[in-house]
Amino acid sequence: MRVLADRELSCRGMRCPLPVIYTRKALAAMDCGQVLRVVATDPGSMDDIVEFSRRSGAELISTHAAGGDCVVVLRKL
Amino acid sequence: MNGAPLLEALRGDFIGIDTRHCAADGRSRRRIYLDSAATTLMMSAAHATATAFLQHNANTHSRTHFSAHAAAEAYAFARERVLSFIDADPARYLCLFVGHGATAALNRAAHYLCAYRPQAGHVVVSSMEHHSNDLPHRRVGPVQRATLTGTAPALGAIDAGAFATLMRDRPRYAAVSLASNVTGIVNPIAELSAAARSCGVPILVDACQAIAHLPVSMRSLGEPDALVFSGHKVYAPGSPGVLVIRRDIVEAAPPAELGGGMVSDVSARDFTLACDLVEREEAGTPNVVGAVTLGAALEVLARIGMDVIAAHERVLTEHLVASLLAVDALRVYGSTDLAACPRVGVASFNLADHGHGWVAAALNDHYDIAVRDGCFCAQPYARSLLASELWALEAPDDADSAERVVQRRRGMVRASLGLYSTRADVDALASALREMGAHPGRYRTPNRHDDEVGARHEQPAPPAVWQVRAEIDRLLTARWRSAHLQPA
Repeated sequence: MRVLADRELSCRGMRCPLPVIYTRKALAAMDCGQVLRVVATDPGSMDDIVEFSRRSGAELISTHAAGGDCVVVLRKL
Repeated sequence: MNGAPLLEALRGDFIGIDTRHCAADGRSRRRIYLDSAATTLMMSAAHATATAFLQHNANTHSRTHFSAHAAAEAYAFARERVLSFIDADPARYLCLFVGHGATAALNRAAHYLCAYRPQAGHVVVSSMEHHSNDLPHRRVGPVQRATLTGTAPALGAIDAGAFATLMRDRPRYAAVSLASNVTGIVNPIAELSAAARSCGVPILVDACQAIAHLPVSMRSLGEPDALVFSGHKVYAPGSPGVLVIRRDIVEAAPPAELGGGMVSDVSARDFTLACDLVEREEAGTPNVVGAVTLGAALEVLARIGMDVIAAHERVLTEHLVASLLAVDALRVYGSTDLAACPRVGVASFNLADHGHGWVAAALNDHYDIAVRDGCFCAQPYARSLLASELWALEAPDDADSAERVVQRRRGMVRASLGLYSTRADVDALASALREMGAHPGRYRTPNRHDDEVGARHEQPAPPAVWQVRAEIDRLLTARWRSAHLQPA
């Protein structure tokens, strides 16, 4: 089931760790329970954002890669 | 002379130990070489042996003339010296000299192991590997990572329990390092070998960072299936890469290269491979001089005793780590609990929020302390060690500006020790870092390195480099004059 995101964050063209830094900043500005959808193109960014969510306590809802994009969906807890 | 007395005599006998450069203050300083993990200085005794051999220099693959015979014998000596140095049974293992560093040897090992286990499948590679013990295996199949103990940035050695679990899936083979080139952390290879063997999985060990610093014995390491190191890490720069591997694994594979010296008969349509396995696998002209240099260096180290060297370097490594940890706002990566997590003499660090490029360049320019900076060809490992501090950086909303903030922090500074390193060298490093941390403004030299973007590599070569080029030119000119202008 697709979860509707409250906010979309594009990190296309950015090298790690910028996608994680902007994910952190975006989550900080959101309310608990809200959903963030991050799109990045650095091949290492998906693993990094997943690991960040594990460490930061955000809920990882889904990940997928398509057409050079890495997409990670998180919920702020 | 041997043992500790030989060690003391040897420590000052390396080419370049007294090299001097003109520092930023205009004073001549003796270089403090703390970059041995990248390449070591040349042992004078090994160089002298190679120079003496050059009187007999000739190609191998023949014993017809005296010099060819001498070259073949010298080359065989180097091979035997390698096997005995690492306590490898010549009936079980063979030694191949491949390329000019560990990279070619590791690629070659991947070729053999791939052929030995031809069924499709994944390869297990540890999370701390140098690119040369990572990328060749990605061509073989999907890579599964063996995890490390501890948590970043205090990661430890390869987790032996988790590794044993991975072996139960029977990967094609496993590739691990004996010691990390980033943190120097030593892995429990005997335990890993036993776990791999119990599942019938071959294990390849990269011993580059350990070979000059620890006793490396194939028997004590649990008889791994292959082991690689390079001569330039063991006081013999210019020597070849070394692959020691089980004979039956090589026998099962097609020759890695075709060419001269590896065949017994060639017709216009066909050829017959040489019976000797080493000849078959070393096509072309070997690096005999380099191999002799390596053999001589290993001979000297063996006479000292690697246990003596390891004990000596353990004390200096403890001093290095303790001295770095005592510098304000300095972070050393990897576990620094040396009792629980031993390491060879390598420490990577960052100082406060200064870029690694600035720290390394300032150490060089102002103190003539040679260290390395960056990710040391181990980006996945460096990335995991740096992750938490990079993720916490405050970056502007504009991505270009943010990239400039982050760019200079994507790496670390590495100090690494060799036999010639001293407590005074370590103290000088720590003292310089304390000064730089306390008064960073005194070290800003914009023509040499830019703290904001770390773009020092794009700057013109510093005066010391021109000094070296001029010296080479002077030596060549003098040599030409002596050879051609002076009467015989």
